[in-house]
Amino acid sequence: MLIILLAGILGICAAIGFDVYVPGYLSSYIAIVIISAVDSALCALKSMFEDKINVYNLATDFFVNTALALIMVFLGKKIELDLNYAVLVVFTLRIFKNVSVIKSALIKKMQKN
Amino acid sequence: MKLKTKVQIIVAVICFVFCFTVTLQYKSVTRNNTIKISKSSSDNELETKLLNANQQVVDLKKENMQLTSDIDIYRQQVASNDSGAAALKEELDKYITLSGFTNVKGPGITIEVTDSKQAQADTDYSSELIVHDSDIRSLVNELFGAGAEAVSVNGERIIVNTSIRCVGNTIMINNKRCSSPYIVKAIGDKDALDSALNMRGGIADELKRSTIDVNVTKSDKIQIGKYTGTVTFSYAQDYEKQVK
Repeated sequence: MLIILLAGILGICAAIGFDVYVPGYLSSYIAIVIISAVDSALCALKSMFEDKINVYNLATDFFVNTALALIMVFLGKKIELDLNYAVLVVFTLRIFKNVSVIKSALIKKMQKN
Repeated sequence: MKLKTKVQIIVAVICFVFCFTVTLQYKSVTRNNTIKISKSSSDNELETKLLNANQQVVDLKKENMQLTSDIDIYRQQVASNDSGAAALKEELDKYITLSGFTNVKGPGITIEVTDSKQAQADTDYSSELIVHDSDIRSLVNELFGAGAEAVSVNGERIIVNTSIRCVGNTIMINNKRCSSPYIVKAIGDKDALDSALNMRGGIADELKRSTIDVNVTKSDKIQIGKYTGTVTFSYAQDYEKQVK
């Protein structure tokens, strides 16, 4: 768990250090990357409480999901259909589901002790 | 490496990306804050700004008219007090008239140029069938060439530094938008003006070939308004010597 916290703080420091800004037209893409990252992080955390862990699945999960989400946002902008809201809904649903699974697994662990 | 550790590393990497992107996005959003106003308030802001600007224009125009009439009164007073000044005033009046700053009347012609009716039937404006700025320019050129002393297009007096430019599918004359139908008035020898336009292969022929409506009427009582803008020279200075 410590390494996760460390990586997070490193990320914040890196962004503050870097004098790069996101231009206006790219902001919706970066936002989708954020949500996709939360979703795949929670998916990976959920997998820790399961029996069958496929590491490769988790590793590629993030990149594939983010790529797909970016493609959908891009297409949505081209066909004037706000697909980024649809992608957002799907990711949020998964976040909620994963959080509840993690919560019940943690509660089961606590009850065992 | 234990499986759990591997998963933790993956989560750590994702967490790094997440925190990095969130901070980046937060920085950028707070920086672009002026652009990211909610839609409704920016519409209102623009509306009030536009109304204020329009009101300013109206007020300034009123002030301009008041000041011009004041100047006229002063000129009259000066001329009536001093005979030398009267001669100067006459010369001044002559140049004011020549340069287009007074309303004028006299014989001449009126030309009405309208976009082709076929262009209105098509949904995409075929550029062949509408009146271009170049057409208006050629028309004005022909009129001056045939001896016109005053020319106006849709009420805009053509003076020495009048520009006739294309803006989308309208034309900007004296930095004011004009659109079809274009009413061109010219004061001069009405027969000379009329024949200069209607000669074979002339401008009227060319325009009619693109099915643009051209209506020329001669008259003895053409009235042309004065130039309503301001002219200031900030670069050109008086030069006494001969210019080759």
